[in-house]
Amino acid sequence: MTESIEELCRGARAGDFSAASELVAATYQPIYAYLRRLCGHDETAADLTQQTFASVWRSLQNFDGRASFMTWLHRIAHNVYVDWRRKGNRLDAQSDDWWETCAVDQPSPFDRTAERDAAHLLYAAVEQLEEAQRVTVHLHYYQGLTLQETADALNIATSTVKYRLRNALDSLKARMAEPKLRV
Amino acid sequence: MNEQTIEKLLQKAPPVRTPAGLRKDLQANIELPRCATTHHGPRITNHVFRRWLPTLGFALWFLGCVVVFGLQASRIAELKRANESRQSSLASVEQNQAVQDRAQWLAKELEQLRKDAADVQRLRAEAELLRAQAQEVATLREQNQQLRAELKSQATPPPKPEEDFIYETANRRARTKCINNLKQVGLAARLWAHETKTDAMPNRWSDMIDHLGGPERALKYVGCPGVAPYEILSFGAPETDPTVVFVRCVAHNIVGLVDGSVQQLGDKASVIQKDGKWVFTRVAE
Repeated sequence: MTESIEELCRGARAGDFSAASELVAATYQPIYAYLRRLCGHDETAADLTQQTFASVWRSLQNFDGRASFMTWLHRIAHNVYVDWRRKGNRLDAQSDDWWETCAVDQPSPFDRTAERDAAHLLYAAVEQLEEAQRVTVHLHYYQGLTLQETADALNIATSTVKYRLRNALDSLKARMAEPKLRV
Repeated sequence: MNEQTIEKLLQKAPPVRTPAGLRKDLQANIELPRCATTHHGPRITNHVFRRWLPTLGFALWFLGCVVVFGLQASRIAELKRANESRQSSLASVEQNQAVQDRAQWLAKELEQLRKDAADVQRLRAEAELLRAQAQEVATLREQNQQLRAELKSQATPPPKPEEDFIYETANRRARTKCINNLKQVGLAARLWAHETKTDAMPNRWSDMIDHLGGPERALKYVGCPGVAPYEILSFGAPETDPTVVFVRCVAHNIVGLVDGSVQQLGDKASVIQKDGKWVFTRVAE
């Protein structure tokens, strides 16, 4: 998959429109999911995705291949999201229903109802984290990037990623241990 | 809930459902860079030019530096040559100056040698003249001796004084004059001793000049006129001893004592040196 994305990227850089179209088809879903989870609104996430890929086409010639294309793409999406936040936009709180509806067409990954409820509480707790920790958790756990890729996407050191994740897990563990949230 | 459980739940986050038309919209909005498709050739040229622009700029700058360096080097070489030529000319001028100085020095030396030679010639001539004069003096001396010998042989005994009235008169006048002079000298000496309160005779003739009537008049008292100067025997002698002889006239054999008196020497009186003093003594009969 990674090699094919890199090949498509090279084709798009060479001006192959079909390669660019395939590249969009292969990468737009995780980017949209990332932005949707962060901003909490469908249309906003779609707009941010459009801005992300517009920026990709503008900067595609500058892509030097030192990081993977997906990492580079996440970095652009993160910058677009940060610009959007700087304009004063607020986050929409994720409701439990959204977590239900977002996976309505797919089989639930949770085997038990109790586990599903705990997961919903956990995801809600993630949205309550500090912004830097929240973004880091999204990239590493939700988007499945490695520590190095997360660090490259956020343009920070790997040790900083580890530090943020450690703090995030501690915070989540503490919140999940609270009586009201305990399952 | 432990960390492993939290991490598992986070990794199981359900995927997000994407809007239906998003994919088509994204694909429709693809805007690939033109450089990769239509304007490939010129952009490559532009790209190549941009890529090589710093190098070309540096090359032009370096070439300019080389040209400037070459011009400066040629200018420096030209200046060095001019400097060398000037130094050589200056050295020749200095050499000529040294030669001229040497020539002037030699000319001065030659002039000095000529002067020295002329002096030597003049001194030789003077030496010859002196030799000639010396020979002449020797000759005259021999002649003088011969004449003296002849005069001795032909001399006639002088007439006796008592027989020569004119001689006796002139001698008596001269003796009187000598006595007066010696009295004046003795008086002047005593006046000097009195003024200076030393109770001693003067130490030189000049001490008595004022008491002898000034320099011109003092010349009359320094000796017998036309005969011989007086002889001071006891400069600085104390005037307490009246027998000490102060001044003597050798021609008339008269002495002046420190007490101012004048005595005639002869058969009955004489001057002797006693304890370093010239003393007037009378011969006992």
